[in-house]
Amino acid sequence: MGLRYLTTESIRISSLPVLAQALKELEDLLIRDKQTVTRSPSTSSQAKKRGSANTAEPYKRTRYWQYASDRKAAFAELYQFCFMLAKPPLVFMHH
Amino acid sequence: MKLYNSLVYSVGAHLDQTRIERVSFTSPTVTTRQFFLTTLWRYSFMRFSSLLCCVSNTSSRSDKVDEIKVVVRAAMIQLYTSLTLLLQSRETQAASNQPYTPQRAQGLFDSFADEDDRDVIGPEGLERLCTEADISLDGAQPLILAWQLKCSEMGKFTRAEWLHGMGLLE
Repeated sequence: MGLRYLTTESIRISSLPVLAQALKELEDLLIRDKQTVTRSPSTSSQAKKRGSANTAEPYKRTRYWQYASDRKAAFAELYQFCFMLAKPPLVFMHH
Repeated sequence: MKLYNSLVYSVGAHLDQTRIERVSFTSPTVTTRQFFLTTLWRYSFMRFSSLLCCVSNTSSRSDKVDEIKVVVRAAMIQLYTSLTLLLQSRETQAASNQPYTPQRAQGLFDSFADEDDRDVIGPEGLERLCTEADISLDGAQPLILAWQLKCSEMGKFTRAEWLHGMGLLE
């Protein structure tokens, strides 16, 4: 499954500190190539099996873990996005 | 010099953490800014009044008043810094503990939306957002944000992009 299919996955953020945290974690993961954040106990597989509520995560890290599983592809996607964003629009000159 | 030292000690003693911790945060209707300004005014007035009383019977009153002004100014700067840090940490902690709600995501967008077009966060709003979130505009984080929100234009977020990216249209 390509990363582009994950982009509709919402991160569920509604406050500035959490947004800043999410962006920093993604930067550390994809740009600085740091280790991934520690999974909180409530999101571990055992907790999921027990069906416990996800209360420890500051935001929904589904995308983060997908990126972490394939950093190269995620970075390539980011790079491609930035390239397209910065590219000036095509202008056709008509004489 | 002895008087000066005692004044410094007096002001310093009242600026310690205990004093600041005792400041009341119980009224939720008062905004942080209002509360801070009121507290600062009360505090500085009270301190300055008490300091003037200490030197009322000295011979060179104008010199002492100048010294007191310096001390009070330094004390106010310290007070301002301490209170700002304290309030920021409390606000950050409170905001971090807030769970996601679509209304909060809307509110967050509205607080940075352009005056002219309320459905857009323009370059100025983005700059403000980055400043308040302590995000460097020179770094990669604004680009990562744009990537996550799937923005179609550089330095500009639409309401639809924001809400979709943040989770409202999940």
